[in-house]
Amino acid sequence: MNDDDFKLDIEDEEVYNLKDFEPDGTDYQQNKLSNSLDLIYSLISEEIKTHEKNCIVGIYLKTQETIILKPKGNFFRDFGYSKTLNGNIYVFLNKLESLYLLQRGNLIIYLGNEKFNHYLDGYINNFNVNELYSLNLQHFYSFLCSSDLKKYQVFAYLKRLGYLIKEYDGLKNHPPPIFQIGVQDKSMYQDIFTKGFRDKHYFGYKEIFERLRVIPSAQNFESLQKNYESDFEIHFNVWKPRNNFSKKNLPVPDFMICMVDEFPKINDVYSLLNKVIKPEKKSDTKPKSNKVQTRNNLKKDKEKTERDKERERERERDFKLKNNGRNVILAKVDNGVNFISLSEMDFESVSLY
Amino acid sequence: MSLASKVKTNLQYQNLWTNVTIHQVSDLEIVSGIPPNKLSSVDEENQVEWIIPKMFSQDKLSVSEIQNWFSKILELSGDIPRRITIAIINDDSTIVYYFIHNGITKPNQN
Amino acid sequence: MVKRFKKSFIAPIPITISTQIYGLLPNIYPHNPISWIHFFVKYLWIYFKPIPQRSISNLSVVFEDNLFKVLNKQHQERLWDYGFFGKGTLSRSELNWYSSTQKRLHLGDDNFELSNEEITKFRREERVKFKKERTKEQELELKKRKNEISESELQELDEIKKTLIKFRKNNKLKIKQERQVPIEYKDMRPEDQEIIDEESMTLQEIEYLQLSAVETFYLKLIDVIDVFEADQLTLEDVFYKCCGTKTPKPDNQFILSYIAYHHYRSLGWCVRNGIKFGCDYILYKKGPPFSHAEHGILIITEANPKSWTEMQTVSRVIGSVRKNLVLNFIDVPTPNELNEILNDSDDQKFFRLLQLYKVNEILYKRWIPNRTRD
Repeated sequence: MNDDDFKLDIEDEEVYNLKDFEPDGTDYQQNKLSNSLDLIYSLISEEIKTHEKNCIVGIYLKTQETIILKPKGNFFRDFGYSKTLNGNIYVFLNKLESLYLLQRGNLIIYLGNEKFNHYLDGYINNFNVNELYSLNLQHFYSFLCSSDLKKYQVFAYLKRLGYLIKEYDGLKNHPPPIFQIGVQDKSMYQDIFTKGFRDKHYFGYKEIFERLRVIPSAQNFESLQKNYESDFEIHFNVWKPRNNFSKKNLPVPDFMICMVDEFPKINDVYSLLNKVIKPEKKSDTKPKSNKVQTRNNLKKDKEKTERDKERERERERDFKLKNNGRNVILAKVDNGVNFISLSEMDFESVSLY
Repeated sequence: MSLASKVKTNLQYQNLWTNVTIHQVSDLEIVSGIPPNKLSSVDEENQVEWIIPKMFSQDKLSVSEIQNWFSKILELSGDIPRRITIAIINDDSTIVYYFIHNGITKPNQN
Repeated sequence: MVKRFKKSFIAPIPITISTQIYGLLPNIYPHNPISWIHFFVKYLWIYFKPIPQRSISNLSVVFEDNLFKVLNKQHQERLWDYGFFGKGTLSRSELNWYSSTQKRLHLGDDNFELSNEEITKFRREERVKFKKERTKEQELELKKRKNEISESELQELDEIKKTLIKFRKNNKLKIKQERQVPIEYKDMRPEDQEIIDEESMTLQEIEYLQLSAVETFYLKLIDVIDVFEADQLTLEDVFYKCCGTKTPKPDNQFILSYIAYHHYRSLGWCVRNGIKFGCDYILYKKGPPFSHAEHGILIITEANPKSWTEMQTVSRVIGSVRKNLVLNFIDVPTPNELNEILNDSDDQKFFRLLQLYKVNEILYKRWIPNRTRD
């Protein structure tokens, strides 16, 4: 182990001094501590206010959805789905989306009743929401079961970071790729063992390693050939913040998230990967410098570019190794939210020789 | 060569410890010795260290086994040490050393 | 002058191939017929030359004390230079206990070549100096906070802060080497006296190259070593010794370790044990002298699943040394499938044994949503 593996890059002196290692009993430290505590308390004690203009009204239905009568604002870029009832377009939110907006103070939720249903069905023409019972936050939380709560923690965490999220709905618009198995017959070199590569001239180590490569290994996408029994499911499709997002024409998700309790076995991992769409990812190659070529450094540059090319190839290979397969994110909720990314890999597809 | 003597050689000639001794207490081999410098910055001064050699395996270590080490060292030295060191020997001859403290200790400032 | 010792890379496996002895084949340029002629002339010339690996005799390994030892100096060197096999029993990896002990006791000539261990030692010493300064700084800072600090101490604190910043910013290690003053026999540690001949002041070699079980079986399988106990051991003997039983089960620890080992070795990686990082193996592109290992491999089987705590612990350690954590889920055959092959008596059965298993590779990484937004 090399010690510079652990070296921290501390640029300026301010970073250092930030944290004290242990309590020293001084007023100085005590003040520092209470100041930051005060700051946190003042932040969380601040009342959440929303301008009347931005406030949305929704009614919670027996279907466990919230119907939004007049959707407005940025949230509906990814939240909910639209449906036309009696010529009116409404947006329906699921429980997580409803709770998120309720918690932010953007949404007032009323509990639906028979009369309201009649209104929706078109039997009544006018309806005043003030007749309904309004639900507060505690009340709404009580509609969530424990698995919903964990899902909400993940959902809200990612929402607050600006991600766009939809519940996973299968591979609807994106059929899985077809896997074609490459040459994998490894039984053809049966004769080499115990002969110690003394049988013929070898012109490169590639030839030797090819003969030694006998242990079957899974290729990327190979799991698509099989159906796996597993309790693991994908729960969320997640997109990085972006402007051109359309609910009607959903792009390929950047991340797909599965809520987990136990650490998965390989069958579970493959079952999850089979439910995933792989987004296009490109390796970031650095732009070449526009250095002026002179005759003197031309030769030097030529040598350099050879080395650069070699490094470039290596970078490309490393990138392929990590990114050529499918990927799924596991979300484990205990006292907080932990995310683990699992990607399939195939070392054999990018062998060194 | 027993595990303990492997650890002894390693301590003497790779890590330059002195006074390295192997103690046999019933069926347990315990090594003691003095390192060239104190092992932890919170130590007052360099001291005798107690080492338990152990072959690396997939088996789990139990609390009662560790407790037994402490009481065997008590028999040997008349004192329960503040910490002992476990020497895990791998089949490629690597020996990794880890402290096991008797109770909670203040963390080291790195 | 202090030189850092750098070896050039020779080969990834202890087999000498024809191009090493007779030179590389010339490149072929499809549109240049002369390049084709060059190629075939060279090819034919090599073709009628002797095959180099045939004249290289097998390296000797002794099985003793349940360990695989390589005692012959040339054999040790070949195993290290051709793929970095084995480990010096008293060194971090390459055998260098003898030369570093000579240096420590000032026995040999002045030798300014530094091993990786010595560079690490210097680094650690620097770190100790830094920590000493930091402790002083913390003591003075405490006095300052308590308003018990004097004017001169305040100045001292300023100075120390400057030194600490220098320490932190300084990435270059300045290595000073003392001139060697001979140490007299009577001044040596008793431990050192035991292994030094007082008359000739020569040091006894007590280190040897140790091969792990997986390394031994790999080298035996490709027939580049001979293993001796009382008599020479067959491939089958070595297999059962490594398994630790005559009746191994499909998830025998050695077999599983070997599957992963053989897989990566045969893709050209230099595979070394990962015990220092809490995983099974670490993979180097060429070998330890050239670059840091890039991947840490953790073997998982159906019968031995991992818990979250285990996973997160390993992942933290591997992450802190900037390696990828690769989970290696190994599919295991049934006991019948395995026994059927082990009961065969031909030479090729281990080859078929390897094909009973299957390797599934999954990259494990923490996802930090804060950092992937754009």
